[in-house]
Amino acid sequence: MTIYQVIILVSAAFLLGLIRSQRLWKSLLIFSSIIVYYWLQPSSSIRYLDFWLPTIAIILAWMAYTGMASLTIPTLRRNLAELGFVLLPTLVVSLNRYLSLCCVTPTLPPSIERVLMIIFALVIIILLIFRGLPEQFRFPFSFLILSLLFIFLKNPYLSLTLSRLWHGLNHQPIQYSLSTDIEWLGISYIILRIIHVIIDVREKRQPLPDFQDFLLYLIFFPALAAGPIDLLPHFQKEVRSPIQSSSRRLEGLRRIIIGAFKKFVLADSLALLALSQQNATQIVSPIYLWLAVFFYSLRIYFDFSGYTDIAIGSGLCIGIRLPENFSAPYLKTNLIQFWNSWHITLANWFRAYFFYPFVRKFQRNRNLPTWVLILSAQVLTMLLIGLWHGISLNYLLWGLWHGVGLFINNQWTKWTSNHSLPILNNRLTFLVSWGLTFTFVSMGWVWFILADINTAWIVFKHLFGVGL
Amino acid sequence: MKQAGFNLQISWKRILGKALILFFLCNILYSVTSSDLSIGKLTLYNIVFRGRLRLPYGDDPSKSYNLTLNNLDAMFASHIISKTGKPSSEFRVVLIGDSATWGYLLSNDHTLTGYLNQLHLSTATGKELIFYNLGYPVMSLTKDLLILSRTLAYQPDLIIWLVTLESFPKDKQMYSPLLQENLNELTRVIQRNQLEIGFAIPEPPRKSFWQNTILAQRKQLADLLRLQLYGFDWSATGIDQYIPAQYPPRQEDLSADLSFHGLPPPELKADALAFSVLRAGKQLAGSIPLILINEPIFISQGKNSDIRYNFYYPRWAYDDYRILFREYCQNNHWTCWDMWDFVSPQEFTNTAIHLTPAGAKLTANGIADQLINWLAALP
Repeated sequence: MTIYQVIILVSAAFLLGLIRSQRLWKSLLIFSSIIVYYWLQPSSSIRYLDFWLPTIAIILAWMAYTGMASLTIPTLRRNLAELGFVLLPTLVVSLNRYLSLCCVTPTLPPSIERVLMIIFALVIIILLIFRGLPEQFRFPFSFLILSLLFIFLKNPYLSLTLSRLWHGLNHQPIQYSLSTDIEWLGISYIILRIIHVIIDVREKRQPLPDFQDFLLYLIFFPALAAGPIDLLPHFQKEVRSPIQSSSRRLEGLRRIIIGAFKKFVLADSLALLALSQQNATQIVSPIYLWLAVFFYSLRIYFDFSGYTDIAIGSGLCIGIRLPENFSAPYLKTNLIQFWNSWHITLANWFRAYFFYPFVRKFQRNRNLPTWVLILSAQVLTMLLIGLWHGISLNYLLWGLWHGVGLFINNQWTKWTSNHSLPILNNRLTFLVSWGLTFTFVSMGWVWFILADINTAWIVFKHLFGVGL
Repeated sequence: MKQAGFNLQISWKRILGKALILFFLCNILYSVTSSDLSIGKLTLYNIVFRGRLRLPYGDDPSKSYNLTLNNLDAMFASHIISKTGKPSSEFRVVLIGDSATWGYLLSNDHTLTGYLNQLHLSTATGKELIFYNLGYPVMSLTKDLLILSRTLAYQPDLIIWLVTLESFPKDKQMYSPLLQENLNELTRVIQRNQLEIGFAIPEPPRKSFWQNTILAQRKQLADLLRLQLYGFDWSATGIDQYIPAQYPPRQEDLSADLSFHGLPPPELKADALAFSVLRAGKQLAGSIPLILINEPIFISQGKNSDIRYNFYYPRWAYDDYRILFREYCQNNHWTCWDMWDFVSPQEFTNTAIHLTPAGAKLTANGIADQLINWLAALP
């Protein structure tokens, strides 16, 4: 996002906050979120893709919702009506083909009759599938579709295949296809949010929300691009909470200013110094390489937490408090604390929907030693978190790095709690712990940045002066 | 809670108010003093980061860890020549010129300066010749004059000025943004030294109060900051130019075009060229020896090569230029070396003056050979 986009979004958030008490506020918020989704969606070499991706996200949301709801005629009729309602902004956006207003979508959308035809076809297909499926298979079906979509989007090879396919469907030359063509704004977050809701509704941990609440939760524009990942009950409570207060708005503005400073001043400046795919093998001194790695650590933190601050601040301007995502992670003295304060909502999501269910399931197997259970749960959770960033070997290794690190940290904590060691309570130990944690996390970023494992390995060797 | 909210509101109003006042005050202060501030002199180069081996210039900043800016203070402050003090054992040689001297598509080791330094030349008195690359990728003698005027502050013992015909036409003298942004300084140099450059320098635009504020100057200030940040990458990698593996080669087949900057064949008149700038440079250098070199050019053997030497030069114009160049040097008793055909055609890269590493090495050796003789002739 550019600073101008942020300014426009913040202004929109502020205006929406001012009319919080109005009856149409929620509808306006949904409409705004949908329009912003189209506006922020990056352009692509695939024709009309920047229009279709947000549209498909809405249809996916509706599919997941229909999979949770009953398929009786009145319910279906209501769901279809709600879909029609939320698709109104989509149709307005598609009218831009004839109006050619700047900036609504990066490129001109397809013709309105084609939009209507394809949406109609998708809805019919979804309905036919759900009508044909027994109720207990509707959740696995939605889950399967979302997982497949995620895998295709996040794996470079499959993404390239998808891009070629799409180019072909558009009668565009497939030789120009790239794996980065399909850059779907916020889809990783949307999928996690959908899965959270469909699991919780299925497990009866929460009632089925209405479709508008559900969609707003998925694409709430401040949190669309980079989270945080709120939970539906909390989000609904915030949406329904009483009228916006001026102190909240001011708090929001403060967060936005801090976030913009972090993102556009600190992170963007650090980007010039940080380790990158380009400079990884160009840096010829271990000292500079260490510095570049540390600069990357700071850069990713300021970038991501800056966006989060802007998201939380914009949310507050609207009157919706989003959950915190960071809590001084680089000041922590062990990896467990780090993961309790870095991308908190993502870590919590994986804890809730993978780690705890996994541990509970295998705890029943008494033959399994505890350490094996903890090791596998932690490593698998971190592997999944790694894969959520991208299905490739480097993210897998990044996940493994942290999974093993967490396990070692866990065992060390257990050991030290059983052995009273006074040395662990002095300032020097605190400093060493902090240094070790920061260095370990920073070294982990090498896997994260460098898609090519060989390059990452070279960087690790160069960090210790080997091979220079 | 109400009380907390009230306090928050008050403190934020005060903070915002103070921030606004400070912002306006800083802008006013900056606008009033910016012409005297020389903010570009504030640098991390030669202190935290190593000095650059050539003046900042970058087509693709993110890849070359370098950028083009027009602040001469910042450009020189980032250069290694600004490192404090000149050792007594050093014989300082400064090379000025265009992109061929700067070393377009060449790493620092492979520029003329790079190769000359690798030769470890010394004077009869045992002083080591240290060469400094102050070339800049703009073809204009007046730009060279501006750089030369700055160079004098760094106590050069010898100035080598590499020129080519394309830098001579009067219509090319002032086109560069570097000159346009430094008209004040150029005018000052010309007036202070009573130089005759033979053509009119545009009046330096008077910047309004608004144009001098931090807000209006934000791009320039951001460039200064970026130059400092790229100092880290430069120090870490030694890279200051992105050199692609492949580039379009210099044009071999040429059009049958006889024109040269609107000047009609068959004769190139001296008054159409800025020889007066060379004379001004010589005058500016004063007692410091100045050697002029007509730099090597690509001599095409392709289509229409009987009409043109290369993309830049029709034969008639270039041949006449060489005659004029020789005459000027002889008449003024200048030391001039004509190296126009010193390098074989295959040693040129993307233009008719940009050399390959082998071409640069050959030229450097040629300069060194002549320099040794020149040094031997020194009293």
